Amino acid sequence: MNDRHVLDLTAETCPMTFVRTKIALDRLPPRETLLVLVRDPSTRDDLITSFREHGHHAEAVTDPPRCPYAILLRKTAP
Amino acid sequence: MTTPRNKLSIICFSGHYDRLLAAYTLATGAAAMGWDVNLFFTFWAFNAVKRRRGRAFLGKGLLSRLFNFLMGGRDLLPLSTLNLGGLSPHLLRHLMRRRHVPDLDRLMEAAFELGVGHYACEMSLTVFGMTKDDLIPQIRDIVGVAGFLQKAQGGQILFL
Repeated sequence: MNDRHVLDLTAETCPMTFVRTKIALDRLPPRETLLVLVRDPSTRDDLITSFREHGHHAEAVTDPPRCPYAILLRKTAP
Repeated sequence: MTTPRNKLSIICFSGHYDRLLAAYTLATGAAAMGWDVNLFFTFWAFNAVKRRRGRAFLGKGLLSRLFNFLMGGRDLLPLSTLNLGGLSPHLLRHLMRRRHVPDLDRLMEAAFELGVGHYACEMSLTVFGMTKDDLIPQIRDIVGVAGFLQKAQGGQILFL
């Protein structure tokens, strides 16, 4: 796992959790990974569903119930 | 064949802080999910996209200048309920800051970065005697109803 790119969103709320993740992912080169930390499991699940729908690899990397909840995103090639 | 992107167009009519907050929350959320988003500013919502954030004598003609001065700008947006003479917007912003909820300025910055299209209503601009130069530079274009409907075609339209 490439853990150079970490985005801590534990102090953020909707919609900035989505917005900041999207902007960070847009700035990454293809196939790079981004570890996103969020405060609650529903945000984690929403992010995973949404970014999978857009073709990116997205998975939860910590088991609940532990805060912060982590998501590993890998940007797909364009 | 590529799938067409979802599209959301929001007509921002109200100059109330809370309604504009709702418009930008939806706009940024949709844009972050890959939607094509347009914001169309008309009438009182112009106060959010004026270049001058406070009271200013903008526009041509005495009445327009007076009207614009009384309406104010982004720093003076009232709440739609319980405005309490302008006190409540300060209290709301304070609460939002304390609870890490993004305020209107932050949401607008995010919308600009996500490429949300900002358009201003030609008719309202004429009524208020203003020009595009009186609005923030992120306003892409001045459009009439036909221009707006063309941009909104095939997507969902909300009126706030």
